[in-house]
Amino acid sequence: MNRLLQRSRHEEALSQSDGSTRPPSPQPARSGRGRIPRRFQKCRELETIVEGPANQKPAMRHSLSLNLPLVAADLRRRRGLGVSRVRLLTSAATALGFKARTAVWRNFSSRGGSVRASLATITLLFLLLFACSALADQRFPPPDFSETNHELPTTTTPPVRALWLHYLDVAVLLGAMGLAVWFIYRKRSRRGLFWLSIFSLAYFGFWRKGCVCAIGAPQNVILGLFDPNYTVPLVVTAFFIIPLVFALFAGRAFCSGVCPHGALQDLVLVKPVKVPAWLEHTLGVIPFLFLGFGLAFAATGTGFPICRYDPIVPIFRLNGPSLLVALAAATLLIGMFVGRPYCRFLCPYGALLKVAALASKWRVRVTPDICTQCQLCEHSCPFGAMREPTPGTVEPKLLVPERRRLGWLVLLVPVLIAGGVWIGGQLAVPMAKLNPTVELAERYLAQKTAPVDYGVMTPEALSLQRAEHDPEALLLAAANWRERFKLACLLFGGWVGLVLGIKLVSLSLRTRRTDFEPDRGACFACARCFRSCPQELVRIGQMPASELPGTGVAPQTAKT
Amino acid sequence: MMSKQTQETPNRREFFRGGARYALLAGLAAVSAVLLKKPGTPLAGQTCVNRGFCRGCGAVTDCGLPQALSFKQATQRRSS
Repeated sequence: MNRLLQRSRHEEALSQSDGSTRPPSPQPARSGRGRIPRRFQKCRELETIVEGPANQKPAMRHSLSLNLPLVAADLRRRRGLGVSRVRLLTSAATALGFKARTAVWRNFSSRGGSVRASLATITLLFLLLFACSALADQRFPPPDFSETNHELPTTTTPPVRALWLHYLDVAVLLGAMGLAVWFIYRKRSRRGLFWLSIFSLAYFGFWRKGCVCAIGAPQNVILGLFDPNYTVPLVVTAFFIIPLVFALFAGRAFCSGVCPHGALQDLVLVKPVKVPAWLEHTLGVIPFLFLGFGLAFAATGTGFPICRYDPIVPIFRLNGPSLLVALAAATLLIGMFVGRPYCRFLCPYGALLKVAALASKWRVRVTPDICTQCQLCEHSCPFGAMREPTPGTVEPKLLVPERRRLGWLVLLVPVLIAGGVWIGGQLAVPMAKLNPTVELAERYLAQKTAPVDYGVMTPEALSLQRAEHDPEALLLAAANWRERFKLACLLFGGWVGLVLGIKLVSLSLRTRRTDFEPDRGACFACARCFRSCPQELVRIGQMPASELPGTGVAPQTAKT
Repeated sequence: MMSKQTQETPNRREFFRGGARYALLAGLAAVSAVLLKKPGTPLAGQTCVNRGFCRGCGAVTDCGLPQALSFKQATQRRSS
């Protein structure tokens, strides 16, 4: 509001400096909240200044999109604006011209806001509707009703799913992946991707209840590699491999159109805020650490923490422990303002896909043809994946300290790994207590040295009673588990050191970009940025090509 | 400054990227091969179809998976 007031005051001042009252210029469509996005404000201001006199001088208006220096000179000469003021205004409108900017802005404001808000509201209402059943918590072990003669219902197991249905899941995954790649690279269609993600949300999310899913599959795979007695189902292997293979060629197509977790978070995204770079980098390490923890834990055979602490799956199942339901609600609430918080800052499979996407053969391009560096796509990514072009040449003087720092950081990586291994070794004993057998064995030994009276029969007392049957076997099993945990903790510690080291090195690497382009690893390939490019609008027929620079005249800008 | 958005020009970075891509692909192929060639894991019929639940599973009588074998042992012991 303050900005609008300032702008109107400024326009008033400008009109007074003209010495004439300008006729009201045609107002471009405003966004749903009645605010002009900041990146278009200078452009709008320039348009207001020029479009007034342009009513009398159409040639001037036409020339704007062709020759910005001419406009700048005209503004100085006719409007009497200072050099700095003119520079400020014209720097906002690049050689592309503000007409194209306004077209893009109209494209943004005509859709977007209200649709997003309605989708988010519907999704949240739907989830709230089922929140009551989700809060029904299961108790394990079941309560003792022996005094009231209440008969517990017999435990039922889910009916066997036919084998062909498992193969159908793989076929649907393959089909959806293929469609996603087609929508991203051939059709360049956000709408197609959106409906594909809705289908995936319905099929893999609510119908298949989030299982089988690619996110938890790495745990099965690692357990299958470590434990000779564990057999990984073929479907799980396929769900682990297929998205990664696609990512090696087409980036994170799985995240954009197939992952139900991402689809749900996309639905609730209303007003994305920009996460500061330092926070993004810091939180971006967590998925790799969670991946390492999940794999280390799964390799011991103790459990699958990635599945157990998944904050989205309780929504698909409309059931879950209270803590996880609360976590799910918090994730969705945060997801209204921070784009895909789970995918960016927690998802361990996303970390794997990120690494694979860094080596991908094809990459998402904002523009379908040429980049004019109009900067309109700069803020189009709600996930902070857009990267600015880097300066072409760097002074050799600046490179020397950078290279020295990089060298030190590369040397630091093995030190960090060694430190991580040492810390992991120290944590092996307390971590092993997470295993129920080890925990029971320790409680058994403690009971022997300092007996504790449990009073009524609690689950702990019951387990101790069972341990009395064969204590040697229990202690032997606990020793075996501890050995496994020792190896897993050493590996996990080393992994943490490696992740931190690589992160530090990557922050010190100088990347070269000539255009605005999405970061290979961070880009979810959601296709949101496509419509921010005037070239794309021309391609799909929403803007005449004549409004682009280099059409007809101004050949000096058509250098390729 | 404009630049034509065509395919990546071959350079050193792209060369390394290609190498990493095919190395990762080979790694994934190796993992798949190890998992599929494990004893008792033919392509069809011997993968768990019931998320590890043997009780109530229609395929348990003909199943040779380790969990199923131990389940059958346990149930036989209980019945005898």
